[in-house]
Amino acid sequence: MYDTSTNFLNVHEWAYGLTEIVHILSLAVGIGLIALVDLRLLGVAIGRASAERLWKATAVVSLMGLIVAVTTGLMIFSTDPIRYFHHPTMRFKLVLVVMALAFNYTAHGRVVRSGSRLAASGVAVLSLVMWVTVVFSGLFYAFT
Amino acid sequence: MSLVSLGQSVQDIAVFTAVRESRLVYPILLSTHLACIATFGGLILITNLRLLGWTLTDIPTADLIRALRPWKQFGLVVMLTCGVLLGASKASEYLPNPFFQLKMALLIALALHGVYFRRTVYRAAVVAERKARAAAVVSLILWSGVVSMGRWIAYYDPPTAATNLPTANSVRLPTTTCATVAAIQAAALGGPTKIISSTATPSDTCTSTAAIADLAARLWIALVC
Repeated sequence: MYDTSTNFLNVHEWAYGLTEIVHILSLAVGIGLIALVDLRLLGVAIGRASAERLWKATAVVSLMGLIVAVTTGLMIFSTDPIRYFHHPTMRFKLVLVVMALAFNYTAHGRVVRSGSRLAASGVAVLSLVMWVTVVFSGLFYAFT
Repeated sequence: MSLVSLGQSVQDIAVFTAVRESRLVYPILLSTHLACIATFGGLILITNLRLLGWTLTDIPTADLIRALRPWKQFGLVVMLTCGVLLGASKASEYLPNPFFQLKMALLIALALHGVYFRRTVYRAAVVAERKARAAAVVSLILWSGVVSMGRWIAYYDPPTAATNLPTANSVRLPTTTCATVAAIQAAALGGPTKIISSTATPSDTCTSTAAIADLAARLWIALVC
């Protein structure tokens, strides 16, 4: 039987607060760089860089940000898994994160490489809405 | 006038009272504030990565900065609007909060960094490389600090609250830690003891927030003195 009181994050006085900070900073890195590509897809000129150029330039850092955000997120989840698992807002967030990640590395990536103007705008808006909703649901978890 | 009473008169203004007492407006503002960090933060990050010369080196730095400026300004306005509404609606809690004070100090430092590097980096036709690296490092450190201290505002418990029972995430600390924290706080803030000790067993425990407040107070002393 898993006992949450043995979880490092619940034991060490600094661990939980530091993990939260890393979670927020890394999600800003991951989501922020995806948002930059989305802005370009929506037609914002960034130097002479194409969306594909921006996607390639940010891909590694953005992926690292997302990996750290997911890892720290799971660490926070592990501090009280039963409460998180049964909370509807948190369930919504977790499902949306999986969807947004899948979307980012399938349709989003494909349109960035080649796609009509209409498809580019649609994908960019959907991507931005998904990630902003992820942030909102993470916060609304604490209020619902 | 103490920070608490100053804050009280700020948060008693009708609009801030309305924000505080609303069920939905407050979390929506908070989420928007955070969503701005997550989305527009990427623009700051890519600028800094370019200033460091780590990415997009075929695009002139000045072009990138110029292209992103209106979007950063838009993001900043939304973020500040939400931030001011959030902070002012709980001003009597926020003003004496060491994390809030640190966050404000870091924001002032960010503004100063913008002014200092304005001519050589942010508004330069051709960006000086060494200055660019310095600006990027300062910007990254300060913005990380702002975000971190923003999160930790919630970790400080005001001294009068009777609700400072240890929570799931709190750790019991020896009395000496509480006493040290209290002394540092008193010295740093010039006020009475600001730190928590558990109301459950006040003689031998306090929450982990005390330890975090301890660090903030130390940093604060280092900044002020």
